[in-house]
Amino acid sequence: MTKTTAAASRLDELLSDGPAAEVVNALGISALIDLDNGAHRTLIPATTRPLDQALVSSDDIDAESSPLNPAVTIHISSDTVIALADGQLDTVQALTQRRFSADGPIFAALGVIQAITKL
Amino acid sequence: MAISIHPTNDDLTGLAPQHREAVHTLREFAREKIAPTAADRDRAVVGNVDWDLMKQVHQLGGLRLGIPESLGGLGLTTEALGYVLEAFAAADPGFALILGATGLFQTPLMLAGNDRLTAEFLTPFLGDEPIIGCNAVAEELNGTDLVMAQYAPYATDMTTAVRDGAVFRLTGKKKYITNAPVARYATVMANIAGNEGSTGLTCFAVDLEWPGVERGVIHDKLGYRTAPAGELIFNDVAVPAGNIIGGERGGWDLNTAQGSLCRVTCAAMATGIARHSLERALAWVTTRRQSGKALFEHQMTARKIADMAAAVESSRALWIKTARLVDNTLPVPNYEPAIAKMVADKAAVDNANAAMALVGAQAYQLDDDMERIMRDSFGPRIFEGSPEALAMTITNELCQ
Repeated sequence: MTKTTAAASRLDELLSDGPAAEVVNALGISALIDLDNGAHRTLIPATTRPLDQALVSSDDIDAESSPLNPAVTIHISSDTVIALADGQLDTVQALTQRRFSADGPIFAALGVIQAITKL
Repeated sequence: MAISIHPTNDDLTGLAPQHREAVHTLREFAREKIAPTAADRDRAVVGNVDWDLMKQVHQLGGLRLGIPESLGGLGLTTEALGYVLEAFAAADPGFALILGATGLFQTPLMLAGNDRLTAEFLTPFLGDEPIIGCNAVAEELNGTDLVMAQYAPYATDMTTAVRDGAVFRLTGKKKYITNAPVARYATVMANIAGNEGSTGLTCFAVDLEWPGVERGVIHDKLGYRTAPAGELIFNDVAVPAGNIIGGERGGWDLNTAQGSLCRVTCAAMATGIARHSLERALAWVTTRRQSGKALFEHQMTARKIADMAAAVESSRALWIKTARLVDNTLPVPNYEPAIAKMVADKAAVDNANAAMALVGAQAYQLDDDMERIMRDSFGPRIFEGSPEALAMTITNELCQ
């Protein structure tokens, strides 16, 4: 199993039940995780109204998943995903060590990263 | 209709509705409650705050501006925060600084998203009584050596953290810390023992009522006098290892990221000071008459007013643009916040100088508020990166 596959498999847990999925669902936005520069993509659809209404404008929230227009896109390596999931790296370290990049509301992105730490 | 030098409603259209409302409410509070009493606070004995006024601003969310809405805060973006702090700084920069420094304490905790730390250090800000926080970084011998990572080995006699089982024991003294005399909590940057200079910088969340914490000298500052500042002394203070944010030796990375975020709102505050100077000058040059006409009708005066207006508009345009960038981009950019702060800091000082010269002998009186604006205008150049430190950040980013 490649690192990308292993990391992708962990990210799939964000779409099921469990503490990590709960964190992501609470964000209530659609997020695209771009793993290893396009080697794999995980789309997290918006499932509920966001607790933080200001995460995205009402124009951006859509009930349907939209790979073409996620509210936030996160670019991250499989090494970083595995380190976060295994507890070797926390959210703040991943942020301050510049271990990922994101386009979109930054606290939404950080929410997704935090969810990964709960995998 | 006369041109307004305040942020326009167009500027605010990108904000979420509840943020726009919060901005309007807090700006009105700054104008109606803070501005009229700024001179009184400036002349008051230093070291305390007006707790009645703090309670009023707390009820409007002023001490939980950035705390997520899901936790009960206002959840303001950097952009929304900028509008609020520009307005408060135009009224009383010291008051703005109290709010900003409290936010600076809260930011690492929000980033960490740790349930225990959130409950212990963020949830209290959601209660009925106002609580103030501070971010303890600077020391007697260490200023820029705690701002520029390449200088870390040269830091001297740093506040030290020594591991002792499940705790770290903090010993040392922080100086020039905004809110130190009145804060309940602090994020404290200490060097883990055994690391040269400040290379082992680590962020600790500390309750300032713990044994061993002392409040030291209260600084009698030239400006920003509404914001109490002073020393924090740590005498072998036991801090749980679990209170570390960003990992051991992660303080530098955190300091850099947080510093860049903070520089945007610092730029907004400096813009507020620049704007206040312009407002003071406009009040004078539209009423004062010399040679049979209003001052603004004299060409050299007109040129000064135009330059001041350009400084306000360009500073604002830059901090708004930068705020929108940092609200939607990770990693936290370093270049744009440094540029925004450098421009706005200069605008604050230049506009205060120009307004002082325009208003002349009247402004030179101690009972004219212009002298307070003049003193306050230097503040932004001191905190969160001097012009020299900003220049190094900018050049490093351009030349790498």
